[in-house]
Amino acid sequence: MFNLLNAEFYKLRKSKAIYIGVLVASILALLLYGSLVMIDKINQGEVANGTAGIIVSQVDESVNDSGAPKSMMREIGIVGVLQQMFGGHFVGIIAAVLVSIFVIREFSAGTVKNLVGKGYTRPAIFFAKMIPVIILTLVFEAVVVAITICMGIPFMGWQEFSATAWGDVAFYTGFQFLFGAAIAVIYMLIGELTRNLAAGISVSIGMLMFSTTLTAGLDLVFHGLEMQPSKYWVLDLMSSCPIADFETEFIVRGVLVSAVWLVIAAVLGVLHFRKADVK
Amino acid sequence: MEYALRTHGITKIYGKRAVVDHVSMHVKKGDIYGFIGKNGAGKTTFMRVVAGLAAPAAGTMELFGSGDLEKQRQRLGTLIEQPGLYGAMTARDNLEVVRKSFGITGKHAVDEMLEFVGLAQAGKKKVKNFSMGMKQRLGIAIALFRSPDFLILDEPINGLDPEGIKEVRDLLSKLNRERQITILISSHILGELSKIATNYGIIKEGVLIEEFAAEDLKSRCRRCVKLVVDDVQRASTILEERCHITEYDVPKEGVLRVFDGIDNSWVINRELVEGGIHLKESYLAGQDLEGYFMDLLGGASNV
Repeated sequence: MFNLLNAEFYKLRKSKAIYIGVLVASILALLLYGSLVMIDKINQGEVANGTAGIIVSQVDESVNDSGAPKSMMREIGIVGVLQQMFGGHFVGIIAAVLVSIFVIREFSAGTVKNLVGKGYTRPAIFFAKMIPVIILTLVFEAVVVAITICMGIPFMGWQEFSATAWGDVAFYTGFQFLFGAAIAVIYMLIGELTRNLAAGISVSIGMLMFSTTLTAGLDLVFHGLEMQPSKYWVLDLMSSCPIADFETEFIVRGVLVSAVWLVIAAVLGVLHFRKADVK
Repeated sequence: MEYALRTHGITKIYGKRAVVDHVSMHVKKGDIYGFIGKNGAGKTTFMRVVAGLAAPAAGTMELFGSGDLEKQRQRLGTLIEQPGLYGAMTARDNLEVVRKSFGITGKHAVDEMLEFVGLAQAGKKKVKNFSMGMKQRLGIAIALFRSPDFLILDEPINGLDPEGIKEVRDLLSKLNRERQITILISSHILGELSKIATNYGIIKEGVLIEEFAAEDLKSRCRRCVKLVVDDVQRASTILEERCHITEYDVPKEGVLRVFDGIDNSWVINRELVEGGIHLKESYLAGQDLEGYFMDLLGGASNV
């Protein structure tokens, strides 16, 4: 198992995909900050509404206590931008692509044949892949957090940066790591089931885009029974994770739901990998 | 007799079709076993079952006399269908992944293997830019990396130029001779296969129809007159008494193969007809290897 892990991390180090993923995430963060700058400028009447394709539906001309125009950027803050990155599934989409490439190429390139039936059990091979997949996702998320925070300095200014509630940022990031780990294993399960790069990426992104809508529908269906399935779906938790005032109920639910989904995905993945033929 | 591989009724079913149908194969230790069949005959699927990549629907197998396949498969080196390679990595990186996966100590093992398969000069070239031949050689390097006792190679000379084919052939002969590695090899290039194989197995529509040694093949391909008659017993008597022929055999019911006096085959025909034999067919046969396999497989396409 240690040898397999060693080889997997070697492959990760050699993979360019993770660097490209980080670059794309950085560009997305930059665009988010840029959009906020534009919104502020539109609100303050410095540029026309609709410039660069940004339309503010309700221009806010209110002022703060000191009489200066309110800044959306400052109101949202660095934590808010982080929330957009994670809750808006920007990070999730890139992570889906990264994990799919890392997992599915073993099947599409046939390299999994070099391991199966060579003295390692199939569960060992699966877990040796799963651990780096989780670490890959967490490292990627950590880099995105770091980049988003660092980019905040020139956009927000040092004063705003210093005033950020870092405890909340850490808590929020910790939760996103937790959800990210579970989702990474779900992506891996999708990769194992599809074994096709295009299909794997499509299904993973489709799940990201539409599952929260589906769970919202389920919430309506089960409304009469006072059940809310979305409370137990890890992607919903990722989107609805608060950025401050974390309640004990959410903390407990978040930890349990993430753990359960991670275990379910891992077990299903191992069961399928044990039985399925390798081509 | 020690066997590297012995299977009993291995069957693999896809949908309702038995792609491999009760195959009982015997590969002796030290053999180079040529596995022959048309495209879709079940060669690759059978090899995948042996390598543990696919589970059989029925049947059992032994590797090196043991049913503990998980353990014995560690002694296998396989190259089945396309070699499993990371296109964005170099040959060295690909072998490094294999080296780390199996905990082989010493980086020199990678250099030695690259040298052994003639890829030492491939340098920083990425595998996706390799020629088919280079990829095949790297695939063989991966199969050989753990010093296996038994190599399973599916079409290893596919896509190689004549020089590459000779290199692989020499390499396999050398491995078999010097390291006593048993080899199960499938190939469409029968002429090449016949240069190294010590035994053959022929698969048709999932069924292993014959297994025989290379020496048998020579006698089977010997020049002869093939006679299709109604009464083999009486025809044999006529051959012996009237034509004074003793070198003949009966490969199957109603067929005689005469190896003696074939330059005067008209005499044989005349004597048989005069002896009251219903001679349905009489023709000179004497096949090369490919012709023989074509006959067995019942057609010339896609062997």
